[in-house]
Amino acid sequence: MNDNPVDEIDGVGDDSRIDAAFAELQSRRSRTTDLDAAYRSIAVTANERSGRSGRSGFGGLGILVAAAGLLLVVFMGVWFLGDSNQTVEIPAAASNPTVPAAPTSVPTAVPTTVRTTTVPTVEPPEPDLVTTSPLNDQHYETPEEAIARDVAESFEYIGACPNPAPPFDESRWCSMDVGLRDDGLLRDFLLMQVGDEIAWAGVALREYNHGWRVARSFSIGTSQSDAAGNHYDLTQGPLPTSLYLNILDHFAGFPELFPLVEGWCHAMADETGELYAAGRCLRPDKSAYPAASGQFFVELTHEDGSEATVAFTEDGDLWRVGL
Amino acid sequence: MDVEVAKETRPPSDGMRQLSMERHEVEAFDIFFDREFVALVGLAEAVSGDPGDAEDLAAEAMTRAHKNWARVAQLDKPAAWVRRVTINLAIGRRRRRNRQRRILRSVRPAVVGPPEPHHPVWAAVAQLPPKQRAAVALHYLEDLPVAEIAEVLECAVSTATSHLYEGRKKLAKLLENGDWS
Repeated sequence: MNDNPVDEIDGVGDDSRIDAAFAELQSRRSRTTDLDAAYRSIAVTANERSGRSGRSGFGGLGILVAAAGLLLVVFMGVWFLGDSNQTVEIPAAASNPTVPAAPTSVPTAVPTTVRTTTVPTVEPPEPDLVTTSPLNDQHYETPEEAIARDVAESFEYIGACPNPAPPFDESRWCSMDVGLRDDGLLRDFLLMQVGDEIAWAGVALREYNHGWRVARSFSIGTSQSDAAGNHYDLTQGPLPTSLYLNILDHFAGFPELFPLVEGWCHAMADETGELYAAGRCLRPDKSAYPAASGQFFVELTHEDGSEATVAFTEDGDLWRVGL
Repeated sequence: MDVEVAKETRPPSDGMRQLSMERHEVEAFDIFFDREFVALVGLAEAVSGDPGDAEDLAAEAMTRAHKNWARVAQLDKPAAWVRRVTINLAIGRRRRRNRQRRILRSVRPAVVGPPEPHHPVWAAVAQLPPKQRAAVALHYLEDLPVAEIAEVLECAVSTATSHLYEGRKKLAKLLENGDWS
């Protein structure tokens, strides 16, 4: 084989069948693609995502689309932010007497710019889990089916890094911390987004057979500090992993979560979808958590559709990153 | 061929095309859409291997272009950007479906996946790694030079050259051996 592919690229793989197949594809698509129908479809989708009215939207479905968009926003808001007046029972494991009570103030390891409030009401944190159940499944499943579906759904879900509520904007970047059960399966995850003015974070918790619920959601300030006291502007990524380890400390303030998971793993992508920070899987005491090799991975997707896949080794260290 | 002038443009076709953007932005997006969409559909089909998904993937890429139009329009090559989005979406969807299929098969072995492509060329293309598939599709569908393939894939020219070289070589081998099943 030639060591310099440039010298041989012309002529390599020449096959009339390849040319014919691609030409047929191009010709067929030119004949069959309905541009106007596609344009209208894009208009509807754009309106749904923007929540614009027909007057300002670029589709003709105005009010209908606006109503659908509003419903979507309300649904997403309830989904992600929960209703602070509703509570659910904390699982028995959360009553572990060795676990300290949930603090009502920010842990000392977290900079004072962190506000443990519920978005967007900016109220003090509730000690109980906030409930929603977006993926509640009512039908009977075998345990194996439930786990398989759960993993598939959860990865589908977290892959989107959704925009949780206006005015937050996914156009900057998003990050994810994933909680693992002791058998290595996904238990819950944190989504965090940073826009131009504010950062948002939320923890979604999987209660098996009871769907996902938002366990915590809160806004954080636009600047954070790492353990060394260095200050960072959250709106200006990329940011060092050490900073996120500090943010991870924040979850030590939610002891009701930790009896449910062994630890958290972290990965982050910038606005192009490139992974730029990935950390170990850590227990609350920051000891490495043994995620099973190849069993645990995280996907991040950003606005240009690019994805990063991250896997961790048995000792919890970063194993592989791919795009 | 320059990706910026890849397709003949069509004039805006009806009154549906009213955006909440400045008029010149609307017109620019319309021209962009008309010029690029069919090519994106073909690219999506070639990379994803799923004809049924192709228009959906291309539409999603265009929707993102619309959402970010103020910024995308300022790029040196918006067409390269929207192709990159299409390729990433196609690769992501394929990867996600493969994973879901593996998970389901692990608990329900009888689960039948989507039909394998019958055409030997597409069966062979489906066996290429994602970036090689994308490079080959850009080469054959749009006749892009390696430098522009590199721009779309956002990689070095040497990397794009390698993707294209290895992809074409593997395609030739698969077709020669009939090893596409």
